[in-house]
Amino acid sequence: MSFDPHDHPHDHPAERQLPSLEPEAVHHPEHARHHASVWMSGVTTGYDDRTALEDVDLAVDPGTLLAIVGPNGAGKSTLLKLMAGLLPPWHGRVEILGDAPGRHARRVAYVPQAELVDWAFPVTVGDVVMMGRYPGLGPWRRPGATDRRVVDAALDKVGMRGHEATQIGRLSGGQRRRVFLARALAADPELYLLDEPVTGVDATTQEDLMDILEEEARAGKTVIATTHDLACAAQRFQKVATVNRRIVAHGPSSLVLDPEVLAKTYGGHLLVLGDKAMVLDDAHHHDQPEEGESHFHEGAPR
Amino acid sequence: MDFVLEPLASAFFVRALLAAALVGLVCAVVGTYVVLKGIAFIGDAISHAAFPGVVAAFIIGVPYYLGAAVAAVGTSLAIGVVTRRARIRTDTAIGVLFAGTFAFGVFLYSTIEGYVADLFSFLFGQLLSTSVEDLVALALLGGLVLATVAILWKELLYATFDPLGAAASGLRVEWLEMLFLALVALTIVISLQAIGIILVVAMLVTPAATAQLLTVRFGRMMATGVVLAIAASITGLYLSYWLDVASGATIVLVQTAFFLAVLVVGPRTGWLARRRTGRSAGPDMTIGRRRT
Amino acid sequence: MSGGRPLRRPRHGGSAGLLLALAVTVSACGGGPAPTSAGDTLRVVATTTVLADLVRQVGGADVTVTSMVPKGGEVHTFDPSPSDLRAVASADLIFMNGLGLDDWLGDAVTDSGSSAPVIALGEDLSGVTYQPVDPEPGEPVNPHLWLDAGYAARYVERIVETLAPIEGERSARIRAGGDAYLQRLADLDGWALARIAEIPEEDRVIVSFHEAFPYFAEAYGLTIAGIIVGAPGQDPSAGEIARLVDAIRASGARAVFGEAQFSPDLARTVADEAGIPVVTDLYSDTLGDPPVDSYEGMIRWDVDRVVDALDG
Ligand SMILES: [Zn+2]
Repeated sequence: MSFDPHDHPHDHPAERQLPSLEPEAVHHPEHARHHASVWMSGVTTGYDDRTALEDVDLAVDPGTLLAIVGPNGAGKSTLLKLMAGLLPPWHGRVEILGDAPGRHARRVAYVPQAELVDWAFPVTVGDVVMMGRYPGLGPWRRPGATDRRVVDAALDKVGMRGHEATQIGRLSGGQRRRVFLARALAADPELYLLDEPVTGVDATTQEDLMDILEEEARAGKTVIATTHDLACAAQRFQKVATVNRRIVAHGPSSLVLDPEVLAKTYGGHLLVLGDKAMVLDDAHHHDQPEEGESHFHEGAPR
Repeated sequence: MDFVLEPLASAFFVRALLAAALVGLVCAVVGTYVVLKGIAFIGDAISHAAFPGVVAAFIIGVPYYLGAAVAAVGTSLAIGVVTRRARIRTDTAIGVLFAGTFAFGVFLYSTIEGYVADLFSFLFGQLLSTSVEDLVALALLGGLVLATVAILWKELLYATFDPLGAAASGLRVEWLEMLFLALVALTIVISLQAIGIILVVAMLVTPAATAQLLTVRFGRMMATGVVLAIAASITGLYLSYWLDVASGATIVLVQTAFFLAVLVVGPRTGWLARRRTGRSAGPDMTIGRRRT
Repeated sequence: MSGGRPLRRPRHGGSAGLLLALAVTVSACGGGPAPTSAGDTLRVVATTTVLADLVRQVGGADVTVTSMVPKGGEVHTFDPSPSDLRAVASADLIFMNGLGLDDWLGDAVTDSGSSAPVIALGEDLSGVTYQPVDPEPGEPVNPHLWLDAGYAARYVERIVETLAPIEGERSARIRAGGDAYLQRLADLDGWALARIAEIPEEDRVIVSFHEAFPYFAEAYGLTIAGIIVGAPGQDPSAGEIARLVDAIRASGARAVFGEAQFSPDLARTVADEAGIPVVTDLYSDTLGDPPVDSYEGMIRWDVDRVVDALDG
């Protein structure tokens, strides 16, 4: 994908905070720890014997709308899985909502990459969104009237009311992302972890979904999403963390416009022509599934 | 009608009919998840792994289903661990485990001096020798499997459909995974008497796979699978009565015929339907989960 | 349940033509291994424990007999192991039944490279009325001759005729042992006949598991109303079981007899269905633990079991 750092529309949300000049939490992890939604210190992890992330320090405050950007295979999805408790850290410490990952899992909603979903699976839109309610219900209990109301509201919000009975394989790419966001909304979480929520969708869907995420962040929820779309990250997110096996930079979303940050994040994938930078990275080509994900139903947590 | 009523005069036929229907029911319910998880191969591996358990039970003189249950559940849990921890391809690991356990069964079998004939009946089952005690055990263990699925229906569905999302939201997916493999093992154990080690994978997979061609809703898929499985058990057993052929194999053949018939003339994915409407079946025709 | 074992076809109905030729050659020319020197015992391999016992009774300490099918094993679907082949390779003499019972021996002899003479004890006996496995003409002959003690005596005579010439100076002892054993078999035959005669004639109707007992039935006055498996390894279908049960009811058969080397389940199913008692442990093709560890013990056991079941 390519973008022109001088050509993006200035439609930043009004409540957007001023970017601090220093990437903050990196330097003050202990200070940020107690009120952070996500706090990581010196974290290294990977798959089997392959390291995917090294020495990650990161603190994300409640109410933050954070984009995680970086080249293919940089560890963006790995970072989300770490936060979701789907992958244990090899070294370092991770705290999610003030505790070990997974401890407050019902207050966390994770949406996997579209590529990891079996779209042939015999479930409907209504079924998928209702799954957001399952963890709160516990075994044996069936969804009740409240759950159905919450599901309806979530479907309303993402503009998918009336599609409840449609099998998910028959939806367009944008509709599929809307449905999965609705599932996250139905869980009413404090922390959203979204893997490529707006990749491969039409412009309207992207705007709609970002509006919803912004609204959630404004309501005090923490929203963390990976994206390939630097323009979207710069325009629609409040903060950004750029990743390439490490956290390269973390700060206001305008950081992705900084040629130095881009160069460090994307390395050889970045082409700078005068004052225009171009990322030679296929935005619509998703990350390869991480090693170990493709076996016995893909993406089984390990 | 004589064709239907005459066999019912024999108590052994009625017992076999009940056993086949019950096995069909439990297999179709569990098989729905097996098909959607794309783990038919694991089902086959578990059933073959039951063989050494059956032989060992014979040698030490305990009921065969105890040995089968220990071996099958043990193997299913080993598979669960291997698929998570091993650094080799899962299908390779299971292939090794599957052949190794079965070979161990044959090895054990060959160490027995003398009468061992009914061990071979477990390779193909002995549906017609179903006793009242067998039926009671089948109903109890089958009921246990069905009750577990009923209690964890939502959780199993979520963990099957989106294991990452389910785990991240607090479902204990790893635990559900192990539990499910144990359910598969138990289902296989109760199917051994009726259908045998070799063909039990068909009971697990074929009705659910046929149902998947007919519906896009999970609940309906399971219900359709159950109806197809019971219909195949009854039809197959009657056919085997009137044609003088092997009952277990006939049941599986009827299931296969249902599957092929739906594949050809099914309303959703049938070749004829597609030819008529000129549409391609699209991704929703895929059976089981994609593999990379 | 039905569903045969695909890997092994039923052995009845084959013919041991080549082996028969060999056996005839042996007896006709008096050839075979050179007489052994004193102190050596003749190493003899028999296909089944029953045949091995017949040879042992005749040869006594002068022969070492081993059986390929182990005690309790199933002869029709037997598959020799490497140690069986080793035994065949080092044998001086091999006895089989023939008539399709143990055709697998042919491959075992070829595979082991054995050059020992092979004697088919059941084939071409004089004074024997061979019965086809099926009433239809052209069907192969039923091989289970030995279950008639009178026919077992024909086996013993052939064993004596084979062993005596090659045993050199010990031949007199062999012949004497053979004569004594033949006398015991004659006594056994008479005892069995008398024992079965205790059963009222209309009650002497049985169902056997496989087609092992026609000669036994013919000799001792029983009627076989049906058999459960046509060929070992090939279970009956539901329809066949139902027809068998009908036949049992029509014939007034008094008991179903399973055999020790087969699963008792099917025999139980059939007996329950027909509402008659089941005996699951007749011995036919194999010996077992004492008191069924000899041929005589086996016949006594079977006759007693039959009388107990039918004369109740
Ligand atoms: Zn026999």
